[in-house]
Amino acid sequence: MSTAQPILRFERMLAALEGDLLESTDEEIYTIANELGMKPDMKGSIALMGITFASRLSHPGTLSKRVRRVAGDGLGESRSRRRLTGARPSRRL
Amino acid sequence: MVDAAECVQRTPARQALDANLVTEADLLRLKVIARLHARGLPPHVGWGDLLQEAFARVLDGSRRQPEGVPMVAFLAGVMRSIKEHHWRQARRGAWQHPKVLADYGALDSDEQVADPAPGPERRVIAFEEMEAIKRLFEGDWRAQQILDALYEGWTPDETRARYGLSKTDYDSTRKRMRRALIRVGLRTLSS
Repeated sequence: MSTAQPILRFERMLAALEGDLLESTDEEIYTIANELGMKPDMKGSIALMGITFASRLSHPGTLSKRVRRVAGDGLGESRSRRRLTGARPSRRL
Repeated sequence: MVDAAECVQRTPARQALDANLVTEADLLRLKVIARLHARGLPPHVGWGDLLQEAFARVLDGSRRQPEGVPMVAFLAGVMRSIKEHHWRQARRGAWQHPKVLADYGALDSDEQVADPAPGPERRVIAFEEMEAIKRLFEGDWRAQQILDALYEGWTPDETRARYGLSKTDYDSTRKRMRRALIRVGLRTLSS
């Protein structure tokens, strides 16, 4: 067996499980979050938890035209009200 | 002198949320997917890096969402190609952790596909993580069977025929597996 074969099989399995996760409903996600004692009803409380890797892309000038169109060019209007977010490496599972 | 507003940084995920590219439920779903793919990542890269890099590439326009592909599915695909990118870099021995996402250029088209010559480290990680995923379903023999089937690349019909599963059994097991993965993916956020 080549070195690549087990890896390709493993990645194929991950892709299949990813497909299952893509099919999950919002209700399913929130139900499990509630069961875990999270508070998904609090806007921004858990969705952004664990993601603290900041980037220079926060400057609106670097965003693509498409994103600016979707955002209605309103990006960055409230930037001055936001706290500085430091970069911190995330944890693996 | 740098203006205070210039120093204010939002994560790519925050920006995507603010721009209504994804919902909060989507973000949670993507975190679970990122944690799943982190199982096949080089040890120096975390799930958060994977997710943020994917958002960053979409936000800076280096990855464009094809028409008809939902944003969450598109981001999941970007995460997969970034993973391949990291493995290629690791194999070349040239990998350096970026201080900022802007250090990265756009991925080459050949990085969309799996690394054709993976090193032994990747094989070991794949084996260990496969075992770790199986342990998630310890005691659930049907889930174990389906994991094996997914690993072998069998279709649902082939799997059902080989293991004598009804369609209901198969579908309910996949659903149970999905919920278990969501639970594991979200658990570390609440701890």
